[in-house]
Amino acid sequence: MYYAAPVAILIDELTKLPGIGPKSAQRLAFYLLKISPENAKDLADAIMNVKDKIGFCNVCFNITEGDMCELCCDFDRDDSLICVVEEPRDIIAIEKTSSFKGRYHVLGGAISPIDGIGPDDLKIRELLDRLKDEKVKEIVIATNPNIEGEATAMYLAKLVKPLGVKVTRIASGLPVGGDLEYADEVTLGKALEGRREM
Amino acid sequence: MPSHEVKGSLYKTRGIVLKSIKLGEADKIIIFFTNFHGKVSAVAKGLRRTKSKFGGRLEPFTYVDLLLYKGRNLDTITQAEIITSFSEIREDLNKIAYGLPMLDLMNKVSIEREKDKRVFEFLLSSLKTLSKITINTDLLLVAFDLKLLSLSGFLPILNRCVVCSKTMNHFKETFFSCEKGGLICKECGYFGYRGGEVGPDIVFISSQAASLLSTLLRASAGDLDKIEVSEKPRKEVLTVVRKYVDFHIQAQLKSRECINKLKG
Ligand SMILES: [Zn+2]
Ligand SMILES: [Zn+2]
Repeated sequence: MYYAAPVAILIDELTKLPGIGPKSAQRLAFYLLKISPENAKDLADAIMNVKDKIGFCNVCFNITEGDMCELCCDFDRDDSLICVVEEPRDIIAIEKTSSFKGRYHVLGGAISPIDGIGPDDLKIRELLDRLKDEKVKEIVIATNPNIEGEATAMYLAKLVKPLGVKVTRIASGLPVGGDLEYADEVTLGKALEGRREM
Repeated sequence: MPSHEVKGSLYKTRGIVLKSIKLGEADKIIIFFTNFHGKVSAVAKGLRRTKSKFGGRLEPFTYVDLLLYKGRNLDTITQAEIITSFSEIREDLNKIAYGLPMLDLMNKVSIEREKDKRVFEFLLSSLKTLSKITINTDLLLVAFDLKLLSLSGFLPILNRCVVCSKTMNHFKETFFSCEKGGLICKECGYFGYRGGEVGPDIVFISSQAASLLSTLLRASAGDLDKIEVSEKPRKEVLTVVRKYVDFHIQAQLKSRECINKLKG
């Protein structure tokens, strides 16, 4: 390396960020070298603040500042419905639709045997515990429509159905604004299966 | 269709998706086993976006017609069209549980760009069997492991003792040695081999399990659901073949660890 050690360390740390290659890391490092000490401290504080104050919700495992997230504390939401997602950012995506007023449960990933991620590595036991509450009538599985997400959905359905809780899966189908002729047969097949009466 | 012609830096091939790995914000690297180029890794740009042109065409197990762009490091997928989606596998948790370890092993034993038409045909026919099979899915995985290792040069020897060469036509209690790649007779297992020491790569197996091994090695795809076997030799065979696989891969395949949790 041609950099002074502290710069090399900074570049090295930045390279660990998602989507940041060595080139971008170098550019960011030189930008940081130029900013004022106050600005640099603000950035460092912001990072430390997040690490100190943000944790996971005790109930749904969303990210939160306190013990329980806002969505779990909200009295206006429907306790009979739980939407199961892989990651906290999926909650944000669903919230933006304003179409769902129930509660959430974050699994923290999806079953992926090839990566060694099995059911025990996800917050599945915690979900089953929540279902003991008789208020819950239905879980909506909103894992990704790929093999890991589908395997997780099938696994959850197998566990939850015998408990007498209704299990539904978000529909897979054609993206709005797309042309039918470009759809692959798997997506189109799913869209046909999930058709609804008008 | 002659699918290996190369026009400029674009080339066509057919492949089966073994695995996908997230890359950056929205891309994925797809690992294929192809008919003309062996194992190939290629980037699918934007695949994780909901409106990706690839849609569901690049999920594991899918058999696709590909148009690839030859890159300096990694190739890029330009077009993909489904030949067979194998949705019967992807929509059945039990089949996923046994099918992913097959794809995983194929990925581990194959070398990038090392063409092997026989291995390709073998993988394709194994997936066809998996999509149709209703019982003995566990034995299909064992047969797959044995045959794939055999195709890779590790044909296990099951008709004679690998130490003293005594034929084993009347299978009695015997041992299986991963290192020596086959059966060891009772005498060699107890006394002759390694000064009487049964090493960690050696497993005791019953006569039924030993004969089940050779049945599975010879079984054609259609025969698998006709095999009737009790729980004990079945378990023995699963254990010994898994050890044999781990020994040759020199790793424990993670994909095998959750089979029992996922299967029906
Ligand atoms: Zn919460
Ligand atoms: Zn012997």
